Amino acid sequence: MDKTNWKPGRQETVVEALKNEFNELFERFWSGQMEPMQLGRWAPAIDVSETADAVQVHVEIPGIEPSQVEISIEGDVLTIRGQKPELPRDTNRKFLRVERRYGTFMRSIRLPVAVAADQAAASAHNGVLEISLPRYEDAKARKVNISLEK
Amino acid sequence: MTDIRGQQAMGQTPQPPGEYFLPDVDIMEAPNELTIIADMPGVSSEALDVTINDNILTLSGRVTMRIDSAQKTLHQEFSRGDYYRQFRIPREFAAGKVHASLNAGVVTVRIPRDERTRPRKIEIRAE
Repeated sequence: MDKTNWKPGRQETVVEALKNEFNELFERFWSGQMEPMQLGRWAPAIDVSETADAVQVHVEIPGIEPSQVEISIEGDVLTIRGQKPELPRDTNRKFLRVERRYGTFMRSIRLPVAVAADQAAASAHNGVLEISLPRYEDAKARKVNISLEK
Repeated sequence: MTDIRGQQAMGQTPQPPGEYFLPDVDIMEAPNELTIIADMPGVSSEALDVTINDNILTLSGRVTMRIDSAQKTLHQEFSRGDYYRQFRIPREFAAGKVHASLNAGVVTVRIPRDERTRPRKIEIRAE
């Protein structure tokens, strides 16, 4: 969501949308590894933070049932997929304004540290999904003593 | 239905926080009511204020999320901020009983149409 200066909905043609998506993917390919990847017409905002023990990911999913969200970890890539169902069309109702986004989304982010995927936990409160990923024990600060050969 | 920005509504409406987000909204008009749906993720029912003063609808929500000082942000796309947005409601809706509900970060406000303002067909009797 944009801070204070709200932009009216952009109208993109299919070709423009594809071109923009391709350009974004291309730019992302060359940019930093923390840059999340997205496919689809919209994607929820994601925050990633870390503590000494875990990586926490917050995803804004207002109006989306947690059961409609699929979270998976493959290697060091966390993927969140889901769907925001469209409002039922009713001939009696006239839409005066449509700013909220609907449809399927998919986002992947590369995690900054190794996590124990089997201990991952997720919960949703007030439209915010929280995914907690404990750091992999072996990946916590390790002290390795190296003895010099004499 | 007018979106009010930059100009302050007078009277007993909640004042905007210093910096705030404009929630995305859908607005629908049916013969009997006006429905406003706003995405306000992170807002709990205790932190949400929906008011109608005169014909100004104000949506105001505080985001209360614990911020752990031991937490280091690695990637941020949304801020912990408050939401605030005002709309001017057409007069034919502003009189009735307003229903507001919050579910999974989505606020739904239903404002019934004032029956007296419904279009009526007037019978013409021949003299």
